[in-house]
Amino acid sequence: MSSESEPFRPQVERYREYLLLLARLHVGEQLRGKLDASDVVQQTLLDAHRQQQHFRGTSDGELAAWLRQMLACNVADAVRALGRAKRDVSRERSLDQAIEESSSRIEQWLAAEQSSPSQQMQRHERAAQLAEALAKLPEPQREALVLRHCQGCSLDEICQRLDRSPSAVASLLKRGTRKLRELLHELE
Amino acid sequence: MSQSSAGDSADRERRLDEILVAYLRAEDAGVRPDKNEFIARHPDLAAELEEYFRDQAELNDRVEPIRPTGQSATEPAADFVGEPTIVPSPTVLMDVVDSDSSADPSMSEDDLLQAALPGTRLRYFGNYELLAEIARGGMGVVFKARQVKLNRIVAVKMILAGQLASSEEVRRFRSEAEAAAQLQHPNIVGIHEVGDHQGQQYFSMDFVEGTSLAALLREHPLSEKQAAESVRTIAAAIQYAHSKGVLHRDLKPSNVLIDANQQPKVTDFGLAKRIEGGSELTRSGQILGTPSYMPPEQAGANHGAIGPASDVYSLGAILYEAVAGRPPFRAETALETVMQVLKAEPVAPRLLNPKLSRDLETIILKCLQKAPSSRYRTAQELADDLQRFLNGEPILARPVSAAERAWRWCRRNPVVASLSAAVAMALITVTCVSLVAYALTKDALGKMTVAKSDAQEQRGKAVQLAADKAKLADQEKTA
Repeated sequence: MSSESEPFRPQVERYREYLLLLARLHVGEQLRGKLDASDVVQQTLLDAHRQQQHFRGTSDGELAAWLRQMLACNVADAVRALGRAKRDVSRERSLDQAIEESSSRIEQWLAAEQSSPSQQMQRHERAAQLAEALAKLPEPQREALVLRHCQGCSLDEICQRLDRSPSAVASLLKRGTRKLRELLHELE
Repeated sequence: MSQSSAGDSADRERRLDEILVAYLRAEDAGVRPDKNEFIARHPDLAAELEEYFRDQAELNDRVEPIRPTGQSATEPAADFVGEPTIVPSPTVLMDVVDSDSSADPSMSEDDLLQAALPGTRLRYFGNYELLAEIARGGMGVVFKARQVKLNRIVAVKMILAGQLASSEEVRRFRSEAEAAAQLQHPNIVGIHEVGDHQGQQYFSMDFVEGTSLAALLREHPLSEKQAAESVRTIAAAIQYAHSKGVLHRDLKPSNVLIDANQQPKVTDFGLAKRIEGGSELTRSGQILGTPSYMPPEQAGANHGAIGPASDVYSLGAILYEAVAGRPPFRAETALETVMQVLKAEPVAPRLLNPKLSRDLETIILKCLQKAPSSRYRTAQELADDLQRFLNGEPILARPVSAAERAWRWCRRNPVVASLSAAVAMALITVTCVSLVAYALTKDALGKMTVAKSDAQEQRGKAVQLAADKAKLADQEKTA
């Protein structure tokens, strides 16, 4: 994508799934119902288009890092907005806590992003491919894999979430990883 | 695809799902399950399991950089509940503690020796806490150990460095061990895990509290009934292994453990042989093991003929020693023993133990036949005949007749036999010729005697006639 004759042109669209996965991972569990990750990602991609000229990087890795920083800021804004809104719409006590938790986690994330070492880029690129491949999986398989491998849910939690038996979940994970391997292979 | 194979593969997938449920639950419990163990326990699904574990690892690897801090998929945040006895953290593979020895890819004998000494550096090996050395042999060292994750006592056998020279040998050792690991039988010591830890090949198995048949026999021979019962039980276990396509190939009293309930348990399936290699006798002049229980087809390196009947032979040798107090063949050196195994008939066990019943002797000698086809064809047939013996029913085996024995002797000693045959033929020929000559002579003599007496008679007659004639002439003159 980058060559000397032609300036690097960020292809931000292909990072949509990656950003979605990231947003989902960093928003606290309890807030997931309240905060629409795809909205935040959409916002982030629009920002990226608008600010393209400010992007100084020359590689996909740097682009991904740039997008991640913007996403982190947007998620932080969204959680803060949620904190302000809760006074009006919700009196759930647990929500306070959830927002607090999310906020501190996102702060850590932001801090990590701003000091992200460049050798991480390659690895993020591979994660981005994974996100892309995950997005092509049938919904239940993707759901099971994300819960298990990205969010570290136990088998019983996944069963509860997906309303399926343990062996059905195992089957989803199994078929999901198989399919994922094929998809990753195609992407590489 | 036919319906049945479609059904089969659906069935396999269902089984795979069940295994994965168990695996995922183990992960959830925070014990970091041993993938090799899962694979070893389900060898028929090994490929699928390996595939899943590989995919899973790849997935985790890719997720890692984007995972929020403090989360990890392989180690769920769940605390270690209910297992307060786990001392080392399962996230840390406990290793040979010294840095100099951990750099060494496989343990030298010195390391193993060190390990056996109390209070020395090697306390942990992979997931195992080594407790005590149980045995030491040509192929390695066996430790009593505690499997930390599952908090159970096992035996861990480590293969000495240098026993498995090439990667091909390692591969064969592993596939053999994996085949043995699928055996699940009350009279077979189960293998849990086959693996290598920093290049050190090892396998873990049930820890059997008790002694070995070899140690027991050193004390005293068994009673006829005890011996027959034990070997019947072992033969049934061997039959089970054969039905799974696994030969033992090194059955001997030291490979039969006797547990606290006096039940025999067979250990070291197919493994010792693999490690000791094709050459049974020498490795740089050293003698490894004993050929006393080895069938001739194995002692003669005629590996093509090794089959279930080879284990039947070894069972017979064990039974022989159990009742006779010594193995069927034992000479000063292993080489001489091998020669006996190949050439000699075993001493009839009843000569060594006159109280032994004839039927049990017959059973033993049938197992020890040189030709595999003359033995019990299967371990089951041996077990059945021993059961008949124990029930007091007539056994199926027949004692070998004198003529059969003579014929076999000739087969084994062709030079002596053919020379003897030639001498015998010469003797017979001479005898026949003499007899004929004698008869002819006697006949001639008889004829001569008859002729002589005829002649005498004729002469008598002639004299008489002459006398008569003279008398007649005298009368004529006087007249």
